[in-house]
Amino acid sequence: MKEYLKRFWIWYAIVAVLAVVYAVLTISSNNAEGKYIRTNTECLTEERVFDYADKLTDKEEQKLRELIEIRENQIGCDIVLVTVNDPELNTDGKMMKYADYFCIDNKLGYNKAVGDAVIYVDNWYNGYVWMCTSGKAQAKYSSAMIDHVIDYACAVVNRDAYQGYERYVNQVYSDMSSRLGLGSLMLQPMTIFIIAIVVTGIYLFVNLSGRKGKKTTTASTYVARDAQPALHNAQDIFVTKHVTRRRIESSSGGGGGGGSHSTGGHSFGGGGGRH
Amino acid sequence: MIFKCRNCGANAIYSPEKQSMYCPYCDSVDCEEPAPGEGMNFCINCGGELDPGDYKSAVKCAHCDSYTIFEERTSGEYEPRLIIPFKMGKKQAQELLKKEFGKKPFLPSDFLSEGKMEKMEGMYVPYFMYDFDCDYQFRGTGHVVRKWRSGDTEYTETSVFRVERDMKVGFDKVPVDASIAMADDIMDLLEPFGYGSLEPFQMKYMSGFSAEKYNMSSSELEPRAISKAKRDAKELMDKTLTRYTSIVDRNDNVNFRTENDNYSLLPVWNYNYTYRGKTYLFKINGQTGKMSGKPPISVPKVIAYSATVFLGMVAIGNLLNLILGVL
Repeated sequence: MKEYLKRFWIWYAIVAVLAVVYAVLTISSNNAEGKYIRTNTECLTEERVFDYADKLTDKEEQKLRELIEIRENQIGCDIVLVTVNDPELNTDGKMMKYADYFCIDNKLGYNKAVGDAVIYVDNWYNGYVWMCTSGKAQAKYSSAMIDHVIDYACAVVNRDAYQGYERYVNQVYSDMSSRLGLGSLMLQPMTIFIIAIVVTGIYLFVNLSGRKGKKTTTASTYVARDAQPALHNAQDIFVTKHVTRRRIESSSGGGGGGGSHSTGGHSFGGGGGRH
Repeated sequence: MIFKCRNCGANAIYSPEKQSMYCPYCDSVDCEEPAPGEGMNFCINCGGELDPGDYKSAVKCAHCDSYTIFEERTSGEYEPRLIIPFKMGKKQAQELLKKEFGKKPFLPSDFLSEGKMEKMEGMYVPYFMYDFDCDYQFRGTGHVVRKWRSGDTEYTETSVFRVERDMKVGFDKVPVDASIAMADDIMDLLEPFGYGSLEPFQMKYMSGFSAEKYNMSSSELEPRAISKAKRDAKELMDKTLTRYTSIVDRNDNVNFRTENDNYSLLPVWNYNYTYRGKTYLFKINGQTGKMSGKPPISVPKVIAYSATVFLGMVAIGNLLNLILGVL
């Protein structure tokens, strides 16, 4: 046990320090929460879960509504989920417009109409997903952060729609309540698992691959000092030469980008993906 | 025979630290005088029974710890021509073992314990060290490949040469251990010994250590020595062929002529460790400190340590995730 602790005390120390850091950050974050009061009086709906694609049970919808209500008041931002089954929404551009107008038409926003809000539109007909951000959510969310939310939710949504949307709500809460916006750097549980497996594998490989010893003699170790290698005959006689040629193929490629935009006179951010 | 201290009559031994004969009881130095024995079965000092086995030429008495050297196995046809005396004492060898394996996590807990390492034993291992004259004739075809580009075309030019080399080289004291009990692969890894310390054989260097006479004859071991020298000669020949990208139709004709076989004793520290019924052998060159041997693995430690690493990584990853979520 003494030897074990001597080897691994640093691991326990790191875990303890990280746990303390997390506890301190959580406590200070909780103290800062609950200060928001909804001021948007123009909003046309109190509904937050628009399950047009009917992917959630009534019970799941209710659970999600309750979760969203808590999270909205913690971060001061509307969180909306829309599921559709629409073959017409078959490009990112159409998804973006749909999400933007959903926000405009319903006058969503925690502080004002078309104010602080996040709208997640999931088209189950073709798997297209769009997350629209407005107001302070637009300011907070970078493209990478939006991609992270979508990836995080889409990773499980086909298997369990409720779990996927719960992830979306909690991730938005986590991102909006964070100070530096580092939520997009968070790793998937499977990624952590794989990293742990790889590190353990390396640890085992390094410590199990004990060799018997190392050969340190060279070709000249036993060459006699007074009888060094002597070449009595060294001939390199040219015989022939031939040349072959080969045409070099060239290749090229390209990529794309994204950013914020304006719809109906309002500025929105957003990003899309598929599941 | 044993070497006795002229001053107190105790067994005088060779001290690697002092590089001289020494009495561990009265601390006298260079105080030895030989006391001839009678046969190999009884200790001259205490009369206790000795175990000479088939090949032992020096043994430690299990009753009085005196070192007896068997003249029958160190003289005449068994008299070594050369010897490298121990340069490294037991303590130093133990420290080397600790340094090499002290940080290995999966070793059984008592592997480096004082109790176990106390059993470490210094031994003179019989070696034949061959002097060879080697004639090496090489014939082959060498290819020199050159590539270059012009526009969107790559050109490859291959020049073909007929290659001839005749090399003469001498090998000095290529060592092969002559003990059946010593695994060849482990013993080869103890090389090289520093031949600058070779001395004409003197029996006094054996006092304080166990030893063996050669178990196999020089002619039996010669092929192994030739094989080692042949490998080196080929490497030397290959150094003359480096200008070629590749060699084909290679024909190596190598002839060795043995000039000497130099029966010698070389110093080795042995540490035999038994774990779960299996014995693990460690050898330390008693002159240079070079080590060979593969250590045992404690399976419970492998499981416990790797589980800690795995769970630790999972915990750290998840905690970092939680912190990033808050930040």
